[in-house]
Amino acid sequence: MKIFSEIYNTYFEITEKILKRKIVTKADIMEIIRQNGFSETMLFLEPKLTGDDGYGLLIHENGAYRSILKKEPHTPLTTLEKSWLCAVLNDRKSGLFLDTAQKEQLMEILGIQPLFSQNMICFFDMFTDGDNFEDPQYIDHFRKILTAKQNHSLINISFQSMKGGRITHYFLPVRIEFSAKNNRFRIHVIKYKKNMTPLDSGIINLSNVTETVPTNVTIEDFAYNMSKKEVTVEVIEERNSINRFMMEFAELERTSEFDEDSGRCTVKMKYSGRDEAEILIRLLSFGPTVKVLEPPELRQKLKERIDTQSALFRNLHA
Amino acid sequence: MSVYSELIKDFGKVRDYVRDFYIFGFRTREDFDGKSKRTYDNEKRRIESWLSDHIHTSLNGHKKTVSVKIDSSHIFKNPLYQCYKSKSYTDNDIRLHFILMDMLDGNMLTVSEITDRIASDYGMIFDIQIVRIKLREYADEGLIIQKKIGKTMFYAKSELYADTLTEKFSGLADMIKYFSEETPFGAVGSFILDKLNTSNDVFTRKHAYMVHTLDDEILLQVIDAMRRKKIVTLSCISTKKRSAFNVTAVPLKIHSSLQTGRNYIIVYQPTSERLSSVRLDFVKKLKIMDDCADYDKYYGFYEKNKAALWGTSFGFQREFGQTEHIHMELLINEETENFILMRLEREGRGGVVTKISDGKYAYDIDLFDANEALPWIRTFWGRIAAFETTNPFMQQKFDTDIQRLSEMYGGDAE
Repeated sequence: MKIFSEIYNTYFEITEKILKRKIVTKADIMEIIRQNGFSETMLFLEPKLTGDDGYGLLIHENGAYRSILKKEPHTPLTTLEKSWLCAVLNDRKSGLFLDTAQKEQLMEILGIQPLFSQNMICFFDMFTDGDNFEDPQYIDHFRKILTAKQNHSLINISFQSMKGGRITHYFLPVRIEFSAKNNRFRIHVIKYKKNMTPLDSGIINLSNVTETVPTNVTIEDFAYNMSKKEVTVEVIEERNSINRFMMEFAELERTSEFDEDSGRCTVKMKYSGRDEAEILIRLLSFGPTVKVLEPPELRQKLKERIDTQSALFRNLHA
Repeated sequence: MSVYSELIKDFGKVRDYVRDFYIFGFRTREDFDGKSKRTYDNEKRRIESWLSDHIHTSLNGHKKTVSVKIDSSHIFKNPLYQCYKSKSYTDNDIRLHFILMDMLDGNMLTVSEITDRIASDYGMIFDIQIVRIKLREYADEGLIIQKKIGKTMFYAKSELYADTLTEKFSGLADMIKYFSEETPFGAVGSFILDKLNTSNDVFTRKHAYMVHTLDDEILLQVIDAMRRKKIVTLSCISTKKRSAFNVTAVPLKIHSSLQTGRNYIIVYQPTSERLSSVRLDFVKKLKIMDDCADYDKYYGFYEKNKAALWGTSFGFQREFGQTEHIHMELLINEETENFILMRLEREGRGGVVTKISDGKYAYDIDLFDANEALPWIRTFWGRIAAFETTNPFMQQKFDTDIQRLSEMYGGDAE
């Protein structure tokens, strides 16, 4: 079994889409390549599909191209794909999508050893207070919210707020976010008034949801933008910090510049304002090898933490 | 001179470039030492072609840098999966793929019948050996089923299709969408979504290390070795020192960090009789060696020792089982800062939290390498009233780090 195999190649995928059409024009071929290929695929694939020295899978007749195949192409699942399905069916989160009986039936149909087992991999720094994916109530809320997201329909959600109060409102789920570190699902939502005008956007922890009531009200036109803040830091080449820093913050969109003379790297990163507290402690974890240059508010918060700690140190050593 | 192509034969050749453009994004052509300028230009051109929506170039002085910019929290499909869809092939590979899938749909035939029909029904002449090799290859990949009747081998197309399954099991397509962005091996889910002619438009990720997908090809081999209880030789290149080294060892477990983005193979090295770890992204090649008769015994060593691991370090050479102690005292306002106590419990990896007095708590843990916990300990700066460790290097670092930071930010006076 190989992941890097021509069976999964983009050119094969494009060729299958073209052959499925049975008869295509050159313009059709070029459009399918343009939509599905890499940026230079047209240059390489189109002559192979239409040229005299090409693959010979299309025959040029009456100004169009006809597939030489007798049937519509249909590629079965590979062993790799079947064993991957078996592996994910063993994941606790698969129960959010399929019932136990469905999972067992599917396992039997696939009839193959899982690609890997969960106990081969240890996520050693995953938080231990993650969601209970097997709770029937949790599964019910997950499925209703997923359906609402797919139908673009409003759903009435009740949930426990951070302060302990109960909030009930109409929401449009726009995406379902999973954090492997937190082992939690969060729902990105737009909050709506009773007259169905949008109020604001927010994020709800699925584990805090207590009730979900779907509605038939659909919203086709909506805008969801998460505003981002930017932090600029300087990373010093000490204790392999640049490597560690760039890897740890790879998830964030950023630009970086390395100054060979000073051995320092300046990195600008975008982050959600909601995550500022988390960003602050992650920056602190790098110690004196990372210095926050901007924004001043974040720099000030960091400085306060350091000043407080310095004062505690002075007391400790006094 | 070979002609440039968007496609590549060896994934390993491009893996480091993609990683470098994505992780660092500030290196110039001159930094890729050991590679010719033409090699660099070709690999850069390919990556620009695969990841055109995410590639950025800029000038650092008079030198050009290339970076792959992805905000993983806003994206529904890992763009780096594109790299797996670039395997080169021959004209005969693609011809035989579509013809065999067409001809064997509902038919069971011998290799000579297949070869004859390719000529009569599709107008192409193939050597019977080439057809046989492709049939065997596709049988290994699971696309074709082989059946021996008497002394003759018959071939038919597998009849298990992704769309048949998703029609039968409602919820399956959504499950594939979700797991196609999960690590490891999410790329395989994306291959199935390609077959279904659909894509994930529901699930996004936070704290996601999309770059891990580049290690999946190696990881698959490591997992195979673990399952078969084999000794392996890992050919590695350290990104830190850029030096090559080999490790012959028994792979026991994958340790994956969701906070630092690093993945490790926990191994037992019979020569040094020690457990240790190897960075997965350092591994360039894996060679499967002999069976490991004592695999279960070595795995038992891992199980016995894992409680004293913070992450992956079993510490330096020392007396077996020796651990280092950390004792930390924290100031916590129980009424307003209960979340700090929750952090200690959920992130403390087995450390013991005890109340000393109102507003003061202790955290204690014994580890093979206490220094590994230092980044986490620093996240509590601002409330650490006391800190002691039996690791003198760590104690010194802890004491000096805060002084250095204080100077860096101008102390109380700024």
